[in-house]
Amino acid sequence: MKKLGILLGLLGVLGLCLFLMLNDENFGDDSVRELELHVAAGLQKPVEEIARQYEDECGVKIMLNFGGSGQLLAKLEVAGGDLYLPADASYVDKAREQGMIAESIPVSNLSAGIIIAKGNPQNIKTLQDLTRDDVRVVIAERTAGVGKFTHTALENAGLLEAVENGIISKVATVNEVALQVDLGASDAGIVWDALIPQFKQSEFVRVPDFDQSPNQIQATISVLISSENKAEALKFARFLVASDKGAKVFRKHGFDVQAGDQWEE
Amino acid sequence: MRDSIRNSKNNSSNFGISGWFGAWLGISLFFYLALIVLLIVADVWYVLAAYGDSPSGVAEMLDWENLWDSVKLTFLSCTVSAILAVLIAVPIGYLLSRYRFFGRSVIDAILDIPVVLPPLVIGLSLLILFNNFPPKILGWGVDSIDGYLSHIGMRITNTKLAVIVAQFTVAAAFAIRMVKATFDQIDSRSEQVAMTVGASRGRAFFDVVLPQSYRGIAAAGTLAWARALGEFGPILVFAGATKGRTEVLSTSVYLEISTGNINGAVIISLLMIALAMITILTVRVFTEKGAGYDLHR
Repeated sequence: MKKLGILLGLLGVLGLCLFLMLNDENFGDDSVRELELHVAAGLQKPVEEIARQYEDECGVKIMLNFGGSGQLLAKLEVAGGDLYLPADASYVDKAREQGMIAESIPVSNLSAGIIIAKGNPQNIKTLQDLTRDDVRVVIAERTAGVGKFTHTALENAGLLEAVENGIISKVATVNEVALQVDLGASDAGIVWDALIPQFKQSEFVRVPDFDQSPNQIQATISVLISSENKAEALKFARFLVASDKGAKVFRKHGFDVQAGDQWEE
Repeated sequence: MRDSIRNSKNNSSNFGISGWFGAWLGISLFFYLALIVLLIVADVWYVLAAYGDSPSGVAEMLDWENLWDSVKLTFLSCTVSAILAVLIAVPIGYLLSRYRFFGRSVIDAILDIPVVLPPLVIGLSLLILFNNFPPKILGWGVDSIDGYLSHIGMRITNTKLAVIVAQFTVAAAFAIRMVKATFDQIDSRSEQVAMTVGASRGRAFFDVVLPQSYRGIAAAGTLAWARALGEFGPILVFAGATKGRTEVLSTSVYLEISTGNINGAVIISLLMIALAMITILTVRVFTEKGAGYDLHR
């Protein structure tokens, strides 16, 4: 009897937990006005604010799913979604090749530079300094938006080999590069400038070479073919870039945004 | 966990330990314990330093309401996954422990796959399984499990159910290992005795084996719960990191790190440690009592 009691107790707890968990879940019910936006984790702060604003103004719920640009793309290929906002337009190109994109709008220009510890104790000023023996460098893998940019830019400057010799680690995303420097595990790395305000123990060095670089890196929002509600999705995409709506929020968070049109329903 | 495997036998001794042997045991314990404790101390230190800089800043560092949602979902999903893991681990563990059959070692190896696979691969595989399988060429009229479920208004991918599926997949593998080890420790002669006096195999299991293995099973459940708590990769890929829907604490940590909020990430991590300690100790206290009652009856 006792064993039966334990079993029933377990099943009871199981049922209760499931109920508490799922009573507010809608399993992709189409009658609820809702959009799924898959967005690069580095853009979390502004996009969250914009999504909340849109929910208030237009009454459509925006479910935000955060992750690395490439990882999100892999997921979308398999499971589909409404909107995709990676940190780098190259992912949109890849998605377009796969026939996944219905429409896309550029959101923000990202410019790269060197992240260093606050106060610049090691006096790091140029790309050349990254080849110094006393500077521990961290860069992102080629698979990350910023990593691709970093490798190309260093190659063009003829410094790639020299920098790679002194590299202490390669990491997967731009956030990890910034994190390493912010925690003091590395002395310098190459990141998007928009990240800097979030990392309090670090500062940013502009690299003139980068600004003239032909590599135009753009965060781009795309409406996906797999969306069952493309009109609604496009409306949010327009909201996200509208000069008096989303663009304003991006600018507040330190992103360099192209001047879009004013918002109209 | 050590307690659980020893079952009814009390292996701890009251003899003192000294000399090189004692030093060896002591130093080993000290070294590893120090590592773990220092990890936590460093985290606390890091947050306290930030708190000293600006006390109000730390309070504003986290969206507490959102965090509460995450805590709730974490606790509920881990509990569901752990219970499901135990329910499946007990029969499988017993099967593997007591029976020798054709293909057993292959099955044994298959059951270890969730333990050895990189977490992201598990997530990706789940994603493919639920969204691209069975393939259209089989001509079954549906092209995916989720596609079929959508006919009855259900979906797994990107929902809270996906969190459970992801946690369960990994946690069950660990629970099975542990339950099997528990059954292995129990002398199968006790069942045989019961069976020679007329009990069926099932009766013998429920009346003889199960009462001796409560602690081991509870420990397996605890381990499964803890694994589910730490689960991250599969959840990120299969359930997504959607705030207010599929965000569990490990996801919260990831999201905070993504935005450079290291203090927030550390605070959540400390919260996870507290949650885990409380749960593990609670289960421990309950089962010590329960098992004691059962064994001395």
